[in-house]
Amino acid sequence: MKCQAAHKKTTLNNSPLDDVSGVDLIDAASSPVGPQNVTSRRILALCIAIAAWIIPGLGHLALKRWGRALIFFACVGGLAITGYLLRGNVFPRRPGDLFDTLGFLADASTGIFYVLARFFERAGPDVSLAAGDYGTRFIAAAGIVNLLSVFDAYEIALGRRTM
Amino acid sequence: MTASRIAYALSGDPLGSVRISHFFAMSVFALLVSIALAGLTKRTAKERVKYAASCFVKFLVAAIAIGWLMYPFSR
Repeated sequence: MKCQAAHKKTTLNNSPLDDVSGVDLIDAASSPVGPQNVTSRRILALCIAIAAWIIPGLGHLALKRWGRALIFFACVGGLAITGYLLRGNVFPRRPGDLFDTLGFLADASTGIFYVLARFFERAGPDVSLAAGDYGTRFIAAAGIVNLLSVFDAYEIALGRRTM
Repeated sequence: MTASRIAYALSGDPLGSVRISHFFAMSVFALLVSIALAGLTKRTAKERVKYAASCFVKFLVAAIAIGWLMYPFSR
């Protein structure tokens, strides 16, 4: 039973970075060669976070979390594409208006799907109907879900999160 | 252009837009967000399925309850 539990833990945490925990990071920082390791790990984690932002799930894929990668790609993609098909509003970058800026940040968080908006929404947004308004929320929710995935991938890459 | 064709195939509309009921839109939203939250917070497949199902049902119940609570103010 004990052996099975140990095996399960190994297969679930099969990332190459899982063997280093947050405590190890602190120890490494205080050792003579530690800070370099910590810096390189942070850079790697940052690269993984950027990858996770550009293509939802790619960060988890790089960390060999196949299940999560698939879940995040499917959910972010599903939400964003449904939002576009409902003709939701895609906020462009327009500095000055706080609500537009927040909308843009949420939409841009979908990464590659923000770029795909122009292909899926050829006729442009139509928020005169309730469906269009729903679509706007779908796209924003896709961005928020992807942001959560980015933070998750970053924390896993740093070794702060082992699950 | 491939994305435009996919949009057309999915919607059947030349403009690529879909017409779905409010309840169906809410259900799709609840399902996708529940799956994402389950993937984020739970570890095993069994735990994820259980959490996603529970979260999905709670989303629907909460939305219907809030809808009925707002009903007296709708006119």
